[in-house]
Amino acid sequence: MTDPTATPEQFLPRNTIAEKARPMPMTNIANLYASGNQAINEMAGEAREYLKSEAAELRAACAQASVGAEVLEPAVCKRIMAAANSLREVAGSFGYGLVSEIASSLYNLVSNPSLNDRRILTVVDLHADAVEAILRQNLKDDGGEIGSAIVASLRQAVYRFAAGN
Amino acid sequence: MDDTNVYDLSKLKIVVADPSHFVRRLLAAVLTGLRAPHPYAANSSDVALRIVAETAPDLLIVDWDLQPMNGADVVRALRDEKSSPNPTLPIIMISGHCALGRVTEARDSGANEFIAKPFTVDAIYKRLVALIERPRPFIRLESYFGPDRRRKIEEFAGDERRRVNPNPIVAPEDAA
Repeated sequence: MTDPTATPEQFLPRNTIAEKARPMPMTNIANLYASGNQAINEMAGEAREYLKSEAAELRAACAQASVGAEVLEPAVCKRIMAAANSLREVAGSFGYGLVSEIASSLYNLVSNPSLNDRRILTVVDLHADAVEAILRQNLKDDGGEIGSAIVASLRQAVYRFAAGN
Repeated sequence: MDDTNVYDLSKLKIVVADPSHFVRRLLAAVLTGLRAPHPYAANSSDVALRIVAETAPDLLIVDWDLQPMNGADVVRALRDEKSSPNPTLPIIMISGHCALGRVTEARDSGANEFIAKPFTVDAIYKRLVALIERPRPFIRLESYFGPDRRRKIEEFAGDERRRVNPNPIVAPEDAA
């Protein structure tokens, strides 16, 4: 058992990062960030295809659900959550903040065991629609007015689902 | 205005461990954009631990959702002084799961820094600079070995209530 009065040892380990990283005082930080962002921009087209494929994966996961089952099978849940997580983790890095937001709320919804009902597939499908629409229209950041409308319609769908309608 | 210092990262050896092929490529692109060398890439915890043992990197960037061990367990394994090739290796945990409990567990596992996904270029760079300029001292307790989990130690104005050794132990590498 841990002794609560034990004195912790404290030390500064060797910092090889600091030893190897050479300060560059004459270099502008904005130029360095621009170089990093350029690297991201070069993957933008590929990222759109990746995000589209993850939206398609949401639909494929829904299609995997057994027709007769009232509750969602764990494998289906897991597949939906994996796709939602992929969307959430990547979209924002390419300016699609709204996709990350939508995917995050979908992830939280599906991971809630008390909402484990087959009817949630309709909501998942609507989220896939929304992601595809955002990508098709190339809506960046919060998506402006269209983005607000998309969020409002998804929120309504979630409320309807949670209310049992 | 961003007054973050600029560093030449070209000599760093970095391992990126993430289950997603796309995210590994994205991290590699960002790191090379920041003029660090192309990182070693691992798609599983087993590969990550093997690469760390074989390449002696300066930094590991590890995702929470790694398999078969998750990112926190990888960090715990690397902080194990009996079996780890480098128990004080700087480690940045990245994750799309950013609930407070997850961030706290990442910290308690012994990660030096945490980055939320989706990440930005400056978020990654600023964590690298934090490791360079503000390395946290390591704590060795019976139940924990890793960076001091108190983030803003220098801003704490109250009485010191934790029992800290007034004579810090110098790491063996520094003692030579």
